[in-house]
Amino acid sequence: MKLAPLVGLILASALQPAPVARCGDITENMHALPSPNGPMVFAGYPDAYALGYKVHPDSISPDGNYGVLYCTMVEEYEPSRMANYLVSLKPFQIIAALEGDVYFAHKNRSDLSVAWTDDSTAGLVTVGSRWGPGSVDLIEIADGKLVRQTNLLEKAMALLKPDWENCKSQPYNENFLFVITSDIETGWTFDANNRVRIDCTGETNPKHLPDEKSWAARLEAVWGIQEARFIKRKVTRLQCGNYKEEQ
Amino acid sequence: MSRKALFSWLVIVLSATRLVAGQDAGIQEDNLANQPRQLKIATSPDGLFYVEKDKETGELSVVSSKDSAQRSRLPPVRVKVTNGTGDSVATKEVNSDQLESMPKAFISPDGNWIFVGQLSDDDVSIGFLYRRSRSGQNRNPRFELISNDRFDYLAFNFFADQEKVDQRKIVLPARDSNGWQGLQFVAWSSDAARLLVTISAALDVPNNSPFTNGVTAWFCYFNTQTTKFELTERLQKADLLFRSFDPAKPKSFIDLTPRDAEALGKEGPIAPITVRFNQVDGLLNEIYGKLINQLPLAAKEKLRQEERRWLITRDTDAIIYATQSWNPFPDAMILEGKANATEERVRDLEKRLDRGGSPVQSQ
Repeated sequence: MKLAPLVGLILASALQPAPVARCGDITENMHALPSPNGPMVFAGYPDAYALGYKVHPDSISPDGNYGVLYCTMVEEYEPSRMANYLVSLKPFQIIAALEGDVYFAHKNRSDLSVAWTDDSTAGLVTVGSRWGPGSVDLIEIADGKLVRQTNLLEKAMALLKPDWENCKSQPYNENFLFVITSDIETGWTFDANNRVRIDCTGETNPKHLPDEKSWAARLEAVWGIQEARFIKRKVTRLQCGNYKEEQ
Repeated sequence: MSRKALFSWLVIVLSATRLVAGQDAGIQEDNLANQPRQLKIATSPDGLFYVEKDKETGELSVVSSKDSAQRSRLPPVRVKVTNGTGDSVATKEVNSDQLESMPKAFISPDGNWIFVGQLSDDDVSIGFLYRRSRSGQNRNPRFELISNDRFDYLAFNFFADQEKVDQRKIVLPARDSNGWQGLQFVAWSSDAARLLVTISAALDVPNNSPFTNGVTAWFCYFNTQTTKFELTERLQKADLLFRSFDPAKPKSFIDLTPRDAEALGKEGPIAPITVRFNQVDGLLNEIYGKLINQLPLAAKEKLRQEERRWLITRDTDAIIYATQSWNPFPDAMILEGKANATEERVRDLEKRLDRGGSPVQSQ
């Protein structure tokens, strides 16, 4: 047997990456359909998650164990059925459907990001919207399970609402009293003690148009995860009245 | 060094190199280079074959699970695609293989039928139905189209015939449509005798027509034994009630939504899912109350914590259930998923109650 072809064969084999499990594989539809939560419920039907969901690359926890799944095949899925899911990556399994706003591929003026604690036991899942976060969902994980999720944006808005009521300004629109206009990366963070620091602004008129009575207030707060409540809160009024016309 | 020794040395060194290269690929790499060309769409309930899409050619094939060389192509269908508006409307004809969207294959419980649903390039949901051909009864599964006409056209013809609507008044695709339009898969019956589908379209009809708002959801069966469309009493009632379906308020139609297809000889009305869920939810509360009363203080808190976690699991399982069912009316399926999960929880807690509160050992 000649050695040269054999060496070539071995070299060719060496240049192929070894078959390691990677997060991208999960939803790239290998020849074994992933079964997210036990066996397939509807035998003979397509696996919706294998065909149309992916792990968001910016959502993976520091320990590499968790991520957030989002829908990539938007035109094929009924919007009311779409969800974001917390998943474990080793092995791949859906842990829980998340309750906040739903992010999906190519969603207008939106993105998904997750800020994790260093020990990967808690995360802030933020779905961006036009003016800032559309939802901020605090997720807490223990023993590989989601033990609690808290809509922090809703809690923050509840703290701001009395000040908006006192000002008696017009609401932002018929669906929202006001919008939150914080920077997603700096406005909602974990501190060294794994508490959530919030620094955001509520506004009824984020464009600062002069022809309507407007309200704005800043909220600085700290949410204690163990206590499951705000342990610090401060609301500072920024605006109550018409903005001045810009020159 | 002998040739044999040199060869062994090369194998060891290069295998190690390969292992390291693979590990370096790491979790961040988005395996573009290694993606398979084929995409598995669905596997038959008995696991003997699967439907696969070639990502380059778009072709759909049926492949034997035991021997992937045993494969046959699912014949494509010619699809008319309408683009543009007003005077600039253009129609072209393409093979279904060439459509941009992902085809979804639904294989019947007996493995003899495959429904393929796909979004046409003009945003109309279309469908094709295949049956196993006589030459495909052995190891190499082969399927053929049931008709040269598109399956969704056949369903719309049946609708027009049943509801005495002029076929030419069916507008597809409609402009300003705020939901899906065309034909959607709903379910296979457990005996594979019936395929349940639903259709939606705008209709150019007078104001006094019952279909002034178009067909928002009209359900019908394709009977695989008679190879004809049909309506049962259940569907006739649903179709009548769905004339007033408001896509903005789908929850008010939860109990009217057909969630499964009736097997032959097992026809009957839709069992209201809210009634089933409320009953089993009430039962769960009752058993949970009994159980927590018989537990010591520390165990009570543990059970409360477990119950909170179970609620998260119940809601997640319900969404997964609805998603995997592909039923175009997911609210009813979510509630059915919740009812299923709650029934399981009731069984678990009942066993614990019998054992004086101790958790049931998992199998």
